[in-house]
Amino acid sequence: MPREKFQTLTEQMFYILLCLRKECCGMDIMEEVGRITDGRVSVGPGTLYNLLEQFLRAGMIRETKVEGRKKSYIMTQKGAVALREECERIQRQTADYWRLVRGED
Amino acid sequence: MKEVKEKARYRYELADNLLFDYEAVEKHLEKMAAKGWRIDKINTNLWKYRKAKPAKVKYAVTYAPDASVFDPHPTMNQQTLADFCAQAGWVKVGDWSQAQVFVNERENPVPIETDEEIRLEVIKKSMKKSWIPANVMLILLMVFNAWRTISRFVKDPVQDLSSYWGLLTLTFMIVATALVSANLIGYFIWFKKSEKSVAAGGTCTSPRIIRLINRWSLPAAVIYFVAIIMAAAGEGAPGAAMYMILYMAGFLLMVTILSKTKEYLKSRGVSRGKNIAVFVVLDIIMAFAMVSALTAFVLSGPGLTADKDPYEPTVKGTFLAERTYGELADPEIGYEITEIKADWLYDWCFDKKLNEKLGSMQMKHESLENPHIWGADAIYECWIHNRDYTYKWILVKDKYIVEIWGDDEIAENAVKGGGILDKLGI
Repeated sequence: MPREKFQTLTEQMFYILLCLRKECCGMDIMEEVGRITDGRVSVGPGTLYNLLEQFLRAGMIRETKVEGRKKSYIMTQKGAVALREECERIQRQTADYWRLVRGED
Repeated sequence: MKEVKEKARYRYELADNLLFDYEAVEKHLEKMAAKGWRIDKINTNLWKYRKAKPAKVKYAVTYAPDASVFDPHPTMNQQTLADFCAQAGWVKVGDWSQAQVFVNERENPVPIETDEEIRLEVIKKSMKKSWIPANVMLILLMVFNAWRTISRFVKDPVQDLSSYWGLLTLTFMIVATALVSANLIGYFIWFKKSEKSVAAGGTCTSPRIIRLINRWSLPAAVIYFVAIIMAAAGEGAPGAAMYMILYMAGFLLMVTILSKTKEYLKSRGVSRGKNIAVFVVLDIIMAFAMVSALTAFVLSGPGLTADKDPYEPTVKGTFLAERTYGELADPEIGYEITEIKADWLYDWCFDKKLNEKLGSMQMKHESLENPHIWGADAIYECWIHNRDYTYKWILVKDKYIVEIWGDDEIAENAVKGGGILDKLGI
């Protein structure tokens, strides 16, 4: 059963939004994601391009600058809420994990 | 892909990949590059390769849903996508319809698609754009043609059952409709399977079966077509064989002219909308011209079937049924002898002969008592409106169904006078 769009974020969605907490050029996001995750997460150009389109349509990011084909984006309030909620969800998951694993120990 | 030509530096292939089957294209292009052939130009129907040093490179196919084969230049979205890909070392080598093909010389490049759910969504959007509507239109056309052929067969099965030309045409229409439908059904099955796999954290699946069917469709269609032409020519219908050859030549000419016109307008920077309008108008004009030319050929040419002495019996047969028909000079009647070789088809074929329909009119019949007097197992008198005017006589003897028609009195005398079956060699 496919999940509801953006109800939860994939790892790639999460890091793209995280990069866009400050204005960033679309094409630079790939490198930025690699940098902040030490290469653990990589976003393919096709995936990035389509996710940016979807985030734009969902109002989670907005365009800030267009120079020829080079576009820059920044996260909107809606995007920030989604990112925070995802972060809290992961935190809750982590907390559940430690509570149960430590309990077993 | 079917290789059609090889030169020293270039090589051409007929493109027969399914638009959504990115995996097959990627693997094929990588294999070709390893053999020293790099994709040079991608057209809808023909792919051109140039000779190069064999190399291990990566190819990737992604999709731009807003792209069209009628665009004179890449859309802004296509260009932006290409820019993003260039950043990761992917260089665009061509596109067809919504599919965008890239190559990467790096050893372990970041794949263009790293999220299978997004990949599937974009493929779905791209397929909805033109591939699905085009296939639906084609299926409707094929179903209409198949329905006409099957209706004709059901009305008079012996006609097709006793001719390899008829049998091949009938089965070709059914098989071709099934194959075209299989492409679309195959896509939906692939999509559903991929959706399930992706939802479970996997990747899109391989459309192996439909890929195989699609790959063999064109060679099968060509073989079938040649067989039909040979059967028509062999069954005394050289005009029909010529008609089919002209039809196919006209069709290929039309496709070539349309393709060249589209490419020319694109090279002149004509907009997508205008190019589509020219394409549609030109298509309609050429279709009318072709139908007119073929009609003129039928009317003024040698005719679909060769002229033959009517008193010389014509025999047509297959492993299922055989028909012998012609005219007799004395008595002056027309006849057709049918032998159904496949027992399981006999009742159905006989019923169709006995309950023949002429347009909307139903033929009526009555059986004659004591047919053995006239040497037959059964005799039926058949008429359309009025019994005073007999349409034909049907005589049954052993496994033979004999139809006799002609002037009322002469035909009746021929039947009731006895000896007609002997005269016809039964």
